[in-house]
Parts: sequence; C-alpha cells; structure tokens
Amino acid sequence: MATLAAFAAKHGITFPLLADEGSRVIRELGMFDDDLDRHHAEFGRTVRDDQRGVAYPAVFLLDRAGTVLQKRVHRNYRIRDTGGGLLETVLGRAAADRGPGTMVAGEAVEIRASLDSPVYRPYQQLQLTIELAIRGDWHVYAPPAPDGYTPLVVEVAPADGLEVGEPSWPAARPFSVEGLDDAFWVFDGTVRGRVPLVVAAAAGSGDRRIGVTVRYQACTRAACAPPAATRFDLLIREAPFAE
Amino acid sequence: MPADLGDKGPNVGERFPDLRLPDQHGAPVGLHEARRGRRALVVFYRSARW
Repeated sequence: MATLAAFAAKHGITFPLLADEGSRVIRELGMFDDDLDRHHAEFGRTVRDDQRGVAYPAVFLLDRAGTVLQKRVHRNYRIRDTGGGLLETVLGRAAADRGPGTMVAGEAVEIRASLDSPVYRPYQQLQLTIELAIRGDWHVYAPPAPDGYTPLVVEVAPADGLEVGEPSWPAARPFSVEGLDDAFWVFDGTVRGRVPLVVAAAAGSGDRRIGVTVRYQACTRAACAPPAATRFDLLIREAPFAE
Repeated sequence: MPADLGDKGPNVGERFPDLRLPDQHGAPVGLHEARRGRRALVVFYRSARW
C-alpha cells in the first residue's frame, strides 16, 4: 500500500491502484503469468525472486454493463502500448501529446501519417496511423484490387530491430463496375488505418527515422489517376527504458 | 511482431468478474461498484516496485 501510494504520488496518478498481495485475484482471473522465466528469457533476462507473482500485462475495456469490449494481453512487460496509443485505439480519443505527423495533399487524396507518441522505449508498441481523406467522387481500391490496379498498401521501410505488424483498415465498400461480373472493394471519404510497430532493440539504439510509403490508386467511375506513392519520414526519439 | 495472448483472462463479450482489492490509500475497492455504471479500463501492470 505504501509502495502504491508513493508510486501514485510520483506519477500523479489519481485513479485507483489496486494491490493484489499474494496474487490471489489474478490467479482467479486466469491472468497469473506461470511462464515468467521463459517470457523473461526471450528478452535475455533472468527472473529475480521479487519479480514472481505478476499478471500478464494486459488492458481490458469494459462497457457500462461491465462486459469486456476489448482485451489486449501481452507475454512480457516490455511489450505494451503507449499511453497515447491506448487512448486512440481503445477509447477513440486523440492523445494530447501525439508523435510526429505529416500531411501530403494530392489531387484526389490527402494523406496524413502520424505516430502515437513523440518518443519510444525499447519494445513498446507504437501505432502508426495513416489517414486518407478521399475527395468527392474519387475512391481508392482496397486489397485485393482488380488486375491492373494498385490497391491501398502501407509499406514501412525495413530497419534494424524494427518489427512491423499487420495493418488494420475499416471494412471496405463493395463497388461494382458496369459490364464486369466481379464486385471490387473500395474506400472513399475518410479512411483511417493503423500499423503496429515495435522497436525491438537494446536500450541506447538511439533516435529513429521511420520511413513510410503509402501506395494507392485513385479512380472515379469515369477515369483513373496513375498509381501514386507518397513517402513520409517520421522522426521518433528514444526515451530511456525505466528498469 | 509478438502475438497477443488472446486466451488469457476474461473473454470479449463476457462480464468481467467482480473483484475487491485495497487501493493505494488502503480503502477496499469493488470494481463494478467503483465504475458507477461508467465504462472502465482495467490495466494489469507488473508492480509499482520494478
């Protein structure tokens, strides 16, 4: 309790911090990490005795009735979302202190790319957000695109220790073309996709430049623009890893 | 990219079991009582010591 009170005071925390001495509740919930040695070993670390008895790092979002709407459970404390990332992906709220972002406006599409934090810590899960504002009666093809067309794709330039997760996009809209049997899938209006990123490198690897290329092809019912590639460079600083 | 451990703990769509534990001031907190009908984030963090 004294430990929690000091921790709360140090970090300005006003929400309840609950102490589960003896790990009783986390065992009942099925959240007890009974494989801690292996999970530490993956990061080249051994477990100290005072580190045993912990839960898997996790976040549950409950609705007003107390039902689980979303859950994220990780296997190691080194992997976790940023505070800003949680606000955005779980609560749908923009973080006050977002990371670097840039915007490129084209004839048919305006694209913004941003990270959810201005700094990273090794193994922290960052969210790269790509937002397309598709003008008027233009659309872009969602993958898989029809033959000869370029679907919307986000590429993150490979870099030492940078792990890139699967992008997530909202559901695309079916789109049929007169004279063709197949329906295609397109995006129009405002589309926001996310790509999880982890810098899996030892502390001290330094500031990073994340290179992002967004490829797409914009069409109307009447005509198509040539395939486009928009490149972003997002600089993110390394923050010290608190041990 | 490390995968989530989706099978641990209460599942999406289930009611989160109620729990009662002391907070940083030593006062017992019941999860669902303290929510007072609001949404909540339940965060499991390793420890305030390390």
